[in-house]
Amino acid sequence: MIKVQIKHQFPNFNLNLELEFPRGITALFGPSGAGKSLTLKSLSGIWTPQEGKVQLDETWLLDTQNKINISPQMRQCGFLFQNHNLFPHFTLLNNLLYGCPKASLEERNTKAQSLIEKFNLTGLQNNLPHQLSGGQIQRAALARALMRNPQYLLLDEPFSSLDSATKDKLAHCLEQVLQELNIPVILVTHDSAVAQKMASKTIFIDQGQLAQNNLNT
Amino acid sequence: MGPEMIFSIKLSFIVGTLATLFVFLLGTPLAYIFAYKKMYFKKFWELILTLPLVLPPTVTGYYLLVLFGKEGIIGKSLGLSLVFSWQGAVLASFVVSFPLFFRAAISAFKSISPEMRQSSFILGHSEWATALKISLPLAKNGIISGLILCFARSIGEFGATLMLAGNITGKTNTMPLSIYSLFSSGNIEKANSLIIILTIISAVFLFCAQQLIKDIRND
Repeated sequence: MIKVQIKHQFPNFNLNLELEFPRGITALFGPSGAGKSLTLKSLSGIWTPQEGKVQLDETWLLDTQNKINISPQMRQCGFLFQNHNLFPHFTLLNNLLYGCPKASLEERNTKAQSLIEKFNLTGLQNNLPHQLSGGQIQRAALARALMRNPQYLLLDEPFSSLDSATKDKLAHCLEQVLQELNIPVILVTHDSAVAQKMASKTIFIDQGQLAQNNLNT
Repeated sequence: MGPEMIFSIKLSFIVGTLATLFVFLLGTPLAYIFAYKKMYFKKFWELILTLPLVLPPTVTGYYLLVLFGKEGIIGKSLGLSLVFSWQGAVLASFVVSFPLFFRAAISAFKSISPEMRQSSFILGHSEWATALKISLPLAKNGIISGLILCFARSIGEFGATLMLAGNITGKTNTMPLSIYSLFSSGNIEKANSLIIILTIISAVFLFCAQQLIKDIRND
């Protein structure tokens, strides 16, 4: 379970959220500029709000009052950006190996090979990201995010640039992952069908405030 | 081609290479810091570092003389004088060409999506590892084109070099200084040979820089 409280005053926008993300997929909905990406960034540690708390189970990742702010490097979080952000100068395999800096090369290789197989990327290990299709890129980015055995997974509109067939493949991969890892997954999406199908909980935020909090049936 | 001309060509290459090397070693980390880090009076420091780009080289040379001369603030405290030495020519070229590289490197670092660095941090890599493995390779073309421009500017440096290192035949006369001496003494033919060599070198380097800049825009 992740508990988040964020308060941040921008010149023309006030972000004030108090959210809970249980294990399983929670869809985070909202119009552009609602604060969805900032929420993910504060969870990953790459952005710090003026006031806030982030708690993962019993561990405090952020508590501005008590000056606790665990760095992104130490949070063990998986983040799938909208633009995948595979490093363009690394092959697919090297992108995966880069995703697990503390393990030995042998461990990293074994883990990478198993994810490559699982995500149907066999034979593409030595391809550079520009030689992969949109779906392959997103699957590779998801595989890289899983290399560190994350304690929670953040997905920032991972389906937005994919066609429906490719979207289904990625959704299938995600479901597979979730069956194995029982971790909180926060999925920012504009696609209500995806949210309905995949998420067990849906949170709607608007203008930096919680608008609706539903458990999907 | 006489030994003096060969000496000036050699010296120009030595000065250009050393100045470019020092620019790379100092300019790359500075450009990284200016591209990504918050700091007090950033605009002011950026202005100071790029000022030689717009100052007349003789004015830059005068400042260097004031700082690094025998009685200069830095020269006196370090107990060294770079006046009338080839090392002075390296310093003059370094200062004059530094802004060209600095600006190119800052642009190259800024052109990388911030999410690339953030991804690297989230994957567990330190700032240092991210700089070496992600930012530097992705900014490579911009950095190389900056170095090419820097080298071309260094071997063509005249005003600041003349002020600090002087124009001593067989000691500090780089190609541009030799051209000036030869032309002043009526050795038009020899001056022309050096002018052609310098023009070809500059054109080749400019072409290389343009190609790299084109590659960056196409990426």
